[in-house]
Amino acid sequence: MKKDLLIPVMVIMGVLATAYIVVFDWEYNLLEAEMGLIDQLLLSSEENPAGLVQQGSVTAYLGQMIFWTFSLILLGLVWAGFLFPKRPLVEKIIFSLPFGVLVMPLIFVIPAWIISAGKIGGELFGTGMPPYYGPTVGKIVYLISSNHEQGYEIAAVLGFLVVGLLILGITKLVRKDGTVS
Amino acid sequence: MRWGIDMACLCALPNFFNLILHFIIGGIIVIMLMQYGIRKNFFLPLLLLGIMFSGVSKFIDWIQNMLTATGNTVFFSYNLDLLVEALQFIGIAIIFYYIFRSLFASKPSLTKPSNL
Repeated sequence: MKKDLLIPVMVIMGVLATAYIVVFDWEYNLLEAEMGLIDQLLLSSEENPAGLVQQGSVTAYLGQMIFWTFSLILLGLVWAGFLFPKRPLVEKIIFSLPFGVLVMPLIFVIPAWIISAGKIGGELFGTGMPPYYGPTVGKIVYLISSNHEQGYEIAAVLGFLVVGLLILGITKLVRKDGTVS
Repeated sequence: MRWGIDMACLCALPNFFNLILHFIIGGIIVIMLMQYGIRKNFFLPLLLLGIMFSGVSKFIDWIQNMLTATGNTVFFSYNLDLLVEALQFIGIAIIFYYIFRSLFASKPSLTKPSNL
């Protein structure tokens, strides 16, 4: 790839992250929709006696941080390898961390964002809650409370890693003049 | 690490990455300081100070995430939360002030005043 894409890619990631933050913060702070949901998910309840947060130790927590940090840096380095191969390593790592945070929870963040945006739109325009809100939020809550979301996170990262490796391989094989080595 | 326990959620991972980015940027500023020294306008040291304020804020935020993820209840302290916001605000204010001041600083005129 001839053109260095660092700046456009970072701008797109910034726009996406801002869109996520604005919508989720709006729902969290103004509509106060998620406080009950978070308490319900995290704390012990009759439906979920184990709770979601009392299973881990500090060591396991730090292990998670280290595991995801190295996994997502690896993913980012693969994608940076064909997006902007000539950039220094530190810039590739700076790109890797936010890129990984966007990729990792993609499968449930996109539906969550759509229903939150729909709900905020419904509040603003007075049309009320969109009909798809309830069923979708139920599915996301079930996904998280049944501890299945990490499987989707790993699947998303692995999927992007495979796609990135494929593109990287193709760009390495195809020479600048278009001939295949 | 046990399968199925997602303690990386709850904003903990973005906060952790934020902390790493603060260390990287702080490290770059320290290297620049060692290479160029302190200039007259103290741009780099104050940028570093802003990064340090912001970084300490992110560290406290991350610790709160950890206390929630490893505890039995949702950890929330109004005092710590206020401290996080205040440190972040001070850090961002310093960073933005000096970035904008350097961007919009009045530059000396290239032409000499001939009619004086």
